[in-house]
Amino acid sequence: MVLHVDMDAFYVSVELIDRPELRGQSVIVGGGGRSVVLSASYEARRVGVHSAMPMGRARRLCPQAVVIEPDHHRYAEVSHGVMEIFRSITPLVEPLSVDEAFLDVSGAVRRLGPPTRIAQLIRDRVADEQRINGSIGIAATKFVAKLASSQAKPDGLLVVPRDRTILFLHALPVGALWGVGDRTEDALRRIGLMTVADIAYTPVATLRRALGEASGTHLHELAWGRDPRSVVPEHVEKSIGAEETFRTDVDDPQVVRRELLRLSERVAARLRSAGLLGRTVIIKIRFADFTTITRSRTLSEPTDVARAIHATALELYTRLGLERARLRLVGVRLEGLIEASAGHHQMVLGERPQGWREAEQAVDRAGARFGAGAVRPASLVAGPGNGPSGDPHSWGGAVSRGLVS
Amino acid sequence: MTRSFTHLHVASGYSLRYGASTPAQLVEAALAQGMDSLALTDRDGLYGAVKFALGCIGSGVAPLLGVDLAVEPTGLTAGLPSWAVPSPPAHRTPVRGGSVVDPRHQRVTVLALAADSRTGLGRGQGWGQLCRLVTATQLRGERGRPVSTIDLVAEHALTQDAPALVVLLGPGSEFGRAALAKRPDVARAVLRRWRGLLPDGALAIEIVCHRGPEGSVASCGHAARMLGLAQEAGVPAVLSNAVRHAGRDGAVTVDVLDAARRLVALDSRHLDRTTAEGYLASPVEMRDRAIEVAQAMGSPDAARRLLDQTEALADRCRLDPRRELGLWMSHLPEPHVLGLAEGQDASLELRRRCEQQIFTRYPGAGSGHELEIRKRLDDELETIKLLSIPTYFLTVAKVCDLIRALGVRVAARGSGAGSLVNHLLGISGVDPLRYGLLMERFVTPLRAQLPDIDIDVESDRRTEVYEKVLGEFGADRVTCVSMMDTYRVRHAVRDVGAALGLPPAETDAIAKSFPHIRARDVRQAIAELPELRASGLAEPQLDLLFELVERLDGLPRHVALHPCGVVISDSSLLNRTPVEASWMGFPMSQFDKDDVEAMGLLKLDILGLRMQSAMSYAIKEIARVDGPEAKRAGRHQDSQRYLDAGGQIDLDAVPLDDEATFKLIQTTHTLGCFQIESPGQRELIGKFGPENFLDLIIDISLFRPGPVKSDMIAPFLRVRKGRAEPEYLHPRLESVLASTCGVVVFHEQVLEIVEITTGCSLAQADEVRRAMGSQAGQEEAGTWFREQALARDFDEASVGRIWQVLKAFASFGFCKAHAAAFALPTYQSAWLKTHHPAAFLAGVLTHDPGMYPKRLILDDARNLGISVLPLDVNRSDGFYRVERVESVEPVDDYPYGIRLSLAEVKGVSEAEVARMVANRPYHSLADFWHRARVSRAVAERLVLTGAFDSVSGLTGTLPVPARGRITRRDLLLQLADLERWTRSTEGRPRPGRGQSLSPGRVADGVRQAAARQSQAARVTVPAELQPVQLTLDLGDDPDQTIRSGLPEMTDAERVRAELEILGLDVSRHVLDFYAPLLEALEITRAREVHNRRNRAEILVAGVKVATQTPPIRTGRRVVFLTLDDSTGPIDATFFEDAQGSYAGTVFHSWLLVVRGVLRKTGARGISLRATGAWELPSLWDVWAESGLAGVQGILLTGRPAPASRPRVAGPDTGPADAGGAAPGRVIGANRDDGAWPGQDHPDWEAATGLPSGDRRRVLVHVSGYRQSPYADLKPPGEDTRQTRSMLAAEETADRVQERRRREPARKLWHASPGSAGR
Repeated sequence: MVLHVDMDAFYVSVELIDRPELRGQSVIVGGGGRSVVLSASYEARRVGVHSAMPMGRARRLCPQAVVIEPDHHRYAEVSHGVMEIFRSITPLVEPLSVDEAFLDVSGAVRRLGPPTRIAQLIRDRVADEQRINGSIGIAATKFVAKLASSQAKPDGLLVVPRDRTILFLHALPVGALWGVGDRTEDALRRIGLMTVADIAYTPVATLRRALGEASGTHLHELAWGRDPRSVVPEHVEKSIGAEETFRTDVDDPQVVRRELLRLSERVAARLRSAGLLGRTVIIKIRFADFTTITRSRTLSEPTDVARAIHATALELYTRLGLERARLRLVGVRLEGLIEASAGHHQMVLGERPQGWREAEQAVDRAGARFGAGAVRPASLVAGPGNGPSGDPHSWGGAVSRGLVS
Repeated sequence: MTRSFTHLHVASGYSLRYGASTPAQLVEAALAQGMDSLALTDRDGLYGAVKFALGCIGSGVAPLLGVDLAVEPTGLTAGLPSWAVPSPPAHRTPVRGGSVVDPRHQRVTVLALAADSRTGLGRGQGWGQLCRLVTATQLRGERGRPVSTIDLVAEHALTQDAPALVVLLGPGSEFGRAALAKRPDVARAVLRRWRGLLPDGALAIEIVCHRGPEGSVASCGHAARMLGLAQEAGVPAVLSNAVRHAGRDGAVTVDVLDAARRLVALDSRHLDRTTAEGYLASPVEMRDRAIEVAQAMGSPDAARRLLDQTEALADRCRLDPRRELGLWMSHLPEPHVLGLAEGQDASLELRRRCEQQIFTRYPGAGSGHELEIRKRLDDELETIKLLSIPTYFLTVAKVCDLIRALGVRVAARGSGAGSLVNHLLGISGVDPLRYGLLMERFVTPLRAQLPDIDIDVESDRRTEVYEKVLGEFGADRVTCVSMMDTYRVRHAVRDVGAALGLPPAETDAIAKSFPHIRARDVRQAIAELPELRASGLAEPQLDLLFELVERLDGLPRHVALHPCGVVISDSSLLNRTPVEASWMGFPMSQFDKDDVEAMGLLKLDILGLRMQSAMSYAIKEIARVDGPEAKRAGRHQDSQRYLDAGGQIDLDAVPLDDEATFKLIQTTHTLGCFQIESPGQRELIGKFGPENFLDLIIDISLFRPGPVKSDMIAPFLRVRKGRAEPEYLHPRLESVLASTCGVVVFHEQVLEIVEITTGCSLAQADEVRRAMGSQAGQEEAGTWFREQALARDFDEASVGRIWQVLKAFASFGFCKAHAAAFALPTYQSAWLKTHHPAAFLAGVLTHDPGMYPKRLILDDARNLGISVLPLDVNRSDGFYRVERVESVEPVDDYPYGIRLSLAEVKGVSEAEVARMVANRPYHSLADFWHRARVSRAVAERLVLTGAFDSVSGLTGTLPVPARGRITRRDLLLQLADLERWTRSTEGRPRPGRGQSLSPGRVADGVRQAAARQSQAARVTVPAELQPVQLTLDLGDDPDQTIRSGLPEMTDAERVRAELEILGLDVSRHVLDFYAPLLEALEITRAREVHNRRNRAEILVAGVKVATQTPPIRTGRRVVFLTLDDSTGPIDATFFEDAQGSYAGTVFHSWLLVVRGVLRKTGARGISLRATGAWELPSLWDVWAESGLAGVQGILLTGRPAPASRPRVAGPDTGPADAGGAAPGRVIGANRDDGAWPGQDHPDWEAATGLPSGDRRRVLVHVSGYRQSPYADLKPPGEDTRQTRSMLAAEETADRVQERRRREPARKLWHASPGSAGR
């Protein structure tokens, strides 16, 4: 059986551990300035605040809310504790994010009792040891378990026995299914399919006509509760990446380029410390209105050199030709990862054997001794403001000082 | 002793999104600094020139006029570093976020030289060349990106051997940039180029020192280098301050403008300024700067020379605005253009044409009548001759003839209807003699000004009319008029929000939450409107936003084509006005209507009126559908003369006394009729009961703010209904006031009263009427009036009484001629609705002239027994068509239906409609797909709205189709198959938009250049010229509809699809789906409201049709809400006590339940004072969850405790028009505003919990009339700007889901300008 465990309003719950007096109040965890809501208490959700909403809007909707700056270190600590509890139950734990995970407890049944009891045990231990609440869905497959946990929220437990799976699923609206977004939902509604049952009892051929081969077939499978995916404990790194949300939306190409360099450095360092090389460089650009695009390029050979990653990222960015677009976030990611030991470097004619790779390894060593960032590219060394000097009304400063949210 | 100084380079707010001060503020600042002259050199145009010149005349400052032009690079500065010479970006198409706007071109300032006897420059020549240079610059290249060239500037700088313009090369010119880059060699080369092209004395170097850091533009070092180079080359140098704002504190505003203009966030990189020094500095400060520059250059005596040369140049440029610009001189078309022979006297020709028409206009006039006509004609012609404007009338007459020759309906509006000459020339259709209209209200010898004639034409053919007038008079004589959109609150919020980097969705939400008010009132609005505070806009974090919003107030932000103004002049027009291209490619003056008037240009307002289009369409439909049977179908009398045998109606020949028409008006079923369809008007006509055309004129005049203020409706109705005796102020005034029951309604009556009381002429009386518009004028006129009246034996008491009435009337009343001109289409539309309702409503639906959503008009059609026929690909057109249908009831001879229009389908293009129509008929969906070639989305929408039901043999509305029947769902699947098949055979998806062709336009010179810059969509090939596609049957396409067994759409799904796709609920009324809840709550339906007892508290429900915030007497805000529940409209009024908790719901929701107290006044007078409003879907949810008790719980909470109820007219007042002290009255309606005149209790406000007195603002008009600043400033109904506000709202993704449930996808109601929300 599969358990899906999901913490309720995780960041807020963690904050409430130390500030119990805020229980029952509207609490929002989110950065200052213009970042987004990371988590909101159920009281705040009632007036329309939800995660990923810009903070300015959240404050406007819920002026009485207590706003807490996120403390990611603390969340990681609690998350780690929670995951440890999971692992003490079963080795088959597949974390989805800091606050949710799939657990395959089939092997633990003999030791700990039926899944319901295991789930209750997990809830009790999490509440007892970490002092936060979680909701759990239990089902035969992963996606049904996830649906069940979302129905159990907050602070609940829902079991969907194997023989009741179909009954449970079929009552749900089509939008609840994994992979049904707004567009697909619209297409389904147009042909009169409102519930999962409607999908289930529609011939596969009809679904394929309406949605195309792949997703037609897939949805039909899901509608009958068929999901072959199993709980995979060891998360194999498929990619390594880093991204950064700017404090204010940025349209200065220089700032973007500098940020790409910083991110490339970070990604390369992580590749090297994981002993990996990556072949495909991907940049991610999120605009001020939250629309997001990605661009990628596959290199002729895998690399872990920041300079090479940066050069490619820069080229991808330049090719977008953004002249005055405001960016909210940029990210750099590498895919196509292989073990560094498996990679081989083709020397280009005339290339110096001591290249950037060696230089960057030296930087890694310096970082290990003197702290991260001990050695860095000149352009990343913070200087005085870059506005025109002598101007008392420099806007760059005024805005970033947070006059505006 | 300080010398004077003249600023030669000054930008006002008319440099769009660049300058921060108005011309008036600049003139004022110059005066305060003791300057006697000032230049205005706006960017890219002369938009502010006339206002500036007028301001200068008023204050005694001599104006200099010029322009700040972007100039294409010469190539000489290529290779200089980009920090010194920012070049436009190399053009590629960016992925998103758009390309850079406002590239930093090099700029030069060009000033017009004044007439000069020494150089031989003639009067107005410098200004003329400036206008032509601006026109030439605007009309080259791409519209909206005016960039000049060095050759173009040089070409215009010289006229007949004398320089006409002088060019200033400042820090932003190529010369200045080369100096900035410390490349004297390049700077010298640039200077050589300019000197080589310009005549002597037409070039100067502009030195600017903004005291920025060394190395920045306009730093002292930069200035010194430029000055050095100028001296070395022997070119005069002048000092300027490149002014962008009048005072120092304007610097912050220009920063926001820089960001808004470039569409970027506020950041130092995007700002043009380096310091806050670019203001209108005093002569002393400017002298200091000259000294600073000279010292930086190392030659202190250069300062004096610099200042001397500046003044010397200023001397050459000081214009006498009257003489050089030709202000107030009239410039009418040349006689030969009007068909007059050489030397022919225009006034004789005018007389001839008028006399010719007497017998066609007044057939069978008796000799007494004819004498009266001729006397009036002589008087009018005398005045016209005196003013020497007969050409004016001939011109307007010619325009009207041209329009009629196109077969377009034309009608005059405004005071021009008071002139017999206009009536005889066919300009106006109303007989001024019969309805007592006065020429003096239109034009008098005392006002040396061109009169104003406005003409209405069919809105959909307005551009055709423009083309014709342009073609006939020539583009060197005709231009359209522009208008400046200025910053109001919503745009200001959007621009500042974007500049500050607020999330777009948040900015949008904030902007939409405001009613359409001025930007400077933004914080007042937050303080006063409870719904704004409730949405958190008062939070301190938004302070900066709103402070900047206030700063933008009133600044021009966008120049647009005036909706109707056309200037017709002589061939020197282009020497007197700069012209650019409008969006549609019409030549458009940079001056607005006031400027054009001051420039003495003949401005004709040719207004597109949708009602004229609707009526014209109706007439065509009658002839098409009924033809020879039209007479019987429309129940016309045998003796009529307006209907020919083919069923063609001549609407203007219809007599104005049709009994059936007035019967219809009296029933108040006037939805769709011009001017009398709004809720207030329907109430007024219900009580008034107009019986003839004069009554209609009175009705239209009464429904205005003025009559409301003067409290004239109630007394009028009392006398009219015989409940009171008329009072005529004075026996000698009885003849004037008899027709309006003793109440002063018209301007014309004011004139006559003044004439009779004081013995002055009507022309003088009109001057008195005008003077009363201002406080000072009112006092002055009052004294004069008293003296004159007493001298003419009026007693003291009467004089006082008469003056009180006139004063209250102030300038607010209504021009009778205007009302009469309006009453004509009112009558005509009502006549059509009476006799041919189906054709009329089809016209209304097609041209959408009124304030109501089309879904309400369809409801009206159903209530009139006209069927609403669904979309059908084989029968629907691009218009709403009338069809004969099978008679259901045998009594009805001519049952009609209205077929929905294909153009109504969301997202369909004109080209697609034309193709669909051209390729009819279709025999299957596949056939349609192959031949009509529309996008898949459009085809899907057609399927969902049932347009293929009959083609595919789907039968109507069976709830469950028989097994094995094809459904709309099957058609959708087939469509998906068809698209896949098309993609696989054609290799690409079908484009969404159709093909189009460019229209062959005849054009010349300016016209051609302007037309070339058109950015409007190309004209679609009409259906009859579309190539017809034949099916190419390869045999493998999915042409069979396969039965999939998917369920048919339910009724609810159909209605939802109809609302989303058409904006109409066609098959059933939306409210039907809530019927069980409505029943459980015992909601009163519209048709039952009058059965409920007075003072009952009732619940009503419906779809929002309109919200209005009309002006009312007390100056409080009142929200009128009109709901429709399929049995008719219901109107509810929200006073301030109910707005606090419910205004948000009323403005932002669509389906509503309203609780209110009923008040009945008279037979048809019903009003509902709302005490609460809720969203119907929310109540439904609650009902589903917790039953009736839950719903009732909600309806009970928020109910104000009885003690805190404000004292309102209600229980103990009785009918408002029954005599006694009437409560303050809302225009034309029996809704009262909840207050008694003179009995305003201060605790009224305290009891409601609203902020009390001191924070409330009320606009007080000179007449003493108070009105809420949130009141709508114009009557509802046709928006003359012709904007369709069917904007799909941009939503943040997270809200879409929720909204989808509650709100229609399109805006389906009328929201007046005072309403917040969509």
